[in-house]
Amino acid sequence: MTETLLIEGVRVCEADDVPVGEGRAVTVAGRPLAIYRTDEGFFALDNTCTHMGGPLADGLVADETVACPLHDRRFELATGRAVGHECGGVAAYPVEDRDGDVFVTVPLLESLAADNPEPDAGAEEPEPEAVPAGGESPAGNTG
Amino acid sequence: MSENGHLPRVNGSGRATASSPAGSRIVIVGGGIAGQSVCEQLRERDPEVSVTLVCAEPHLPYDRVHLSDLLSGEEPSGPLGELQLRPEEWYDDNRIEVLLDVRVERIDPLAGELALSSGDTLAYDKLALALGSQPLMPPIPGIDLAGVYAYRGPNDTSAIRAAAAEASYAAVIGGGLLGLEAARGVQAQGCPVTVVHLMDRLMERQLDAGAAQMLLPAMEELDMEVMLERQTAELLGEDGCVRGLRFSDGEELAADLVAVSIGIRPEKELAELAGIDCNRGVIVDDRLRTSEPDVVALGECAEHRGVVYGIVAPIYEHAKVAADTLLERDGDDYRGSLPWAKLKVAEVDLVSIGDVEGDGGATSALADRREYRKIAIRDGRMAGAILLGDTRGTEALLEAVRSGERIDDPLARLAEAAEAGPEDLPDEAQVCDCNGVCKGDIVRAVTEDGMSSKQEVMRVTRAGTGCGSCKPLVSDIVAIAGGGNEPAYLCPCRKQTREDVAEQIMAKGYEAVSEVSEACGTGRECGLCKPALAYLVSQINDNRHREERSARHINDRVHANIQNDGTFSVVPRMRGGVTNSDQLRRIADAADKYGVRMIKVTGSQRIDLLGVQKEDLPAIWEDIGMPSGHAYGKAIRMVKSCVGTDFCRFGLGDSIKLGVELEGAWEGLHTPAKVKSGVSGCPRNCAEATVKDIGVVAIEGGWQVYVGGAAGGTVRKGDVLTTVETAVEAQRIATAFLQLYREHASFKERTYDFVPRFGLEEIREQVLDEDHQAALIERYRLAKTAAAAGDPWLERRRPYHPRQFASLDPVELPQAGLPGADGPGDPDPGDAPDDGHPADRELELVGPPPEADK
Repeated sequence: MTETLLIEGVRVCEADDVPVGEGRAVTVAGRPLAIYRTDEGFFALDNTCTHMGGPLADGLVADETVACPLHDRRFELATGRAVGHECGGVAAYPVEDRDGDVFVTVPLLESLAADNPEPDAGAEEPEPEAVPAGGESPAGNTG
Repeated sequence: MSENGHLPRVNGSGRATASSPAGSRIVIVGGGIAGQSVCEQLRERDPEVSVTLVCAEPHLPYDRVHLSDLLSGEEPSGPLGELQLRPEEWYDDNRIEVLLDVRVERIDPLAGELALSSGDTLAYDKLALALGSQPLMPPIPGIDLAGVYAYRGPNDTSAIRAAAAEASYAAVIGGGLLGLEAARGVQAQGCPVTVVHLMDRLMERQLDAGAAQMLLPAMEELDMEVMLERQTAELLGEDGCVRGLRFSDGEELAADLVAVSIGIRPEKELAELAGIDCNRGVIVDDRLRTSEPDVVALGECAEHRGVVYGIVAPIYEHAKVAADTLLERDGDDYRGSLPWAKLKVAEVDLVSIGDVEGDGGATSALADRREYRKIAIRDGRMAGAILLGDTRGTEALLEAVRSGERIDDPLARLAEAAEAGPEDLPDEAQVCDCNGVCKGDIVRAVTEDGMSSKQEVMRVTRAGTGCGSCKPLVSDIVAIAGGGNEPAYLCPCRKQTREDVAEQIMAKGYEAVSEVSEACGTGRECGLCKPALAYLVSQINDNRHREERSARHINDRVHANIQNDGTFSVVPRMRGGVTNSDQLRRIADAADKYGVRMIKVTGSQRIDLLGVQKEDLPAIWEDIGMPSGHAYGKAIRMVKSCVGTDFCRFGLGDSIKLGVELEGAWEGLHTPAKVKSGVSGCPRNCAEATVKDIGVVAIEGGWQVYVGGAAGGTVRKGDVLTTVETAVEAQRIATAFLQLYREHASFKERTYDFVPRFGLEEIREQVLDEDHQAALIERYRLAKTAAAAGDPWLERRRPYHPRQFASLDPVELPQAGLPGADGPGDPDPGDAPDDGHPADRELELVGPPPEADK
């Protein structure tokens, strides 16, 4: 069992840096995160899709979920839980808008990389995915 | 409900006596298909009105269409069992009173009464005469001899069959449709047969000379002789039995069985006796009313506009109109029927439709395979067809004749018909001619009424329960319609079709995705259909919608195609695939400057720069200085072209010019799915235009416009929409099609699915018709004007948000040593743009810790 040292309230950006309904990538202490802004507030997830490593910050946000831009694997914004697929969830991080500044809470210890900081997300272990993507990229590389 | 009111049921058994109480009642005389059909149509319209069917024969209505099968012994069951149109229970269930073995002796129109052979009288308020016809027998000596049969009626059929088994040589008088069927039946009993025909070719009404000629060897092979231009003057007999024919030229033919099938004689005596106007048949108007206002006539006894129909298909059309008239309801008038027939002659399948001569057309004949396919056109429109030996495309051609489709290239149309599958049929295409069931009826039975088996669908729609020749087609359509048991919803999240949502957007004037999401379906937004709604809102508003970028996929937010590592590809517009050294130099320099990992010439005749960071997109666009190629969205991709007349020694049309013009005209438009086009300067088709969503091919003296082609995951040759003389016309038609597709296709539905679904004929009607075409092009212009307001790559100068292309600046902790994961989308901190956010910030520790994560 590893101890968790949470770094509380790392300021990542101003609220207006993220357009409503979209996400933006940010690296906090080398950890790639995706920060989302919706009408409900701010959310933070790991930026790396459990399916094929797609950048979740570029995903389409709707109905409190984000869909990976590569193959449409969906994750709950609040929990990181996988929605409708077997690739496993991603970590979700506490995030807060304090008078126009956005703060995220991230774990600090290296050993945590193996564990999942969110109990919710830990329900499903990431597994290597051999099944072809069910969704499709909206545009192939066809010029 | 009937306007006549209805009669309380006295006798529910269906085997009523003739003494039902007087009141408002409909009486149908004749127990053939016509009488049966009118019963069905009446019940469909009015479940209550009193209906009585009077049949002269001792059995329930049966199907005469299958007689030749019965005759050739192909129906193993009893002589009538399989041919009975409806089981006995049906008449009970539908409360149709049936009087069997009862003839009507006299009609008294004044009293509204029938005198029956049973001695009873039967009162009627409305009367339908479905008296049928008798075989026409030539008034020649010997016609009454034993061994002479008319090819009509089940009793005759079994008699002929028995006789054919005994006979040594048979003759069939009459080389028309029924005569040949009779000959086939006789021959099937192993009896050699000669068909004697008055005209100079067989089936002169259904075949042209070429097709008739091709039949002869097939018939000879089966021991069926044909004698043309022979008039039978006398039947020779011996001991009261027929032994041969003598023709008007004195020649004789030995035969101990003679079947006569030279036409029909409408049964009109009953009507004539009652003073109802008759000519060849009982004269009816467009409502099928006779000269007596309360009496209608239909089927083979009726004469409409001088025509008596001796085939089954019109009966259903008659029955519908007759039922409306009997119930005093409004409905479509009857304006005559398209004559057509499908049969087997000497084991060769044959379909003949409409006017087979025409004033032009195209024929493809393969004498050695006994295949003859022809379409006849008159005044540029489809008039008729003959399909001999190879009947593929029957339904499609029937529909084309019915709708009077414009034919520009008959040969191409003929070839196309051979390819047409059931999915290509429009909903109005009649599938079952015996019961008048259209494809749409079958599809609805599956999609709306939830039937899944062919049997269920046949039971409910009655498709395939007549002659049965359409059963395979019915089964195909059921399978196709069953592909999805649900209607094609725009998205599973909202049980609404694209049309439903579009209607709401138009009615309420919604201009943004969020408005539509809130008002339609579940009221929630859904990631799966947001982009579909975004397209719909933009299309319906002619691109004057309120853009909500968050509803778009990342590709459409940053105008580049995301790659598997989170980088992007950049494809500048290169109209018609034509570039120059200046552009190439700039592209080369930009590739070096931004570390492009691969420069790839694409299949769309342009250049793809792969591996560009999102943050670099605005700068690389600026350096390249070319507009977006839209190689990332559901939009006009490119118009591929060959060098055409500029350089090619085979070029017939200036494909470069047209390609560049088309691409310039269309670029920037969003479409339901990507649209790839091509223009070829000659039929060698180097630009592969026939497998593009929209393709144009120069031919001698004109241009062919193809739609619905594909050569990707699906390979489909495009359909020729039309052939025109000038490039300007080709561009207009292609553009009208593009707009039609933009307006009617579902999101992500490529043209190769759209064209067969929407129907080539319907597309032609919309796109080739002058008014429709003008309206489509007008709407295209509106959309294009707004779309052309900006090349999306100009957002490099006017981003919709300061961080449209930028990630957030990395945050480093004061003490290093934490694991850094180089994931996709992880920007290089060194390259982060400095727009007021320090690239390196001190970790700010604050408290207390947040309670919730939002």
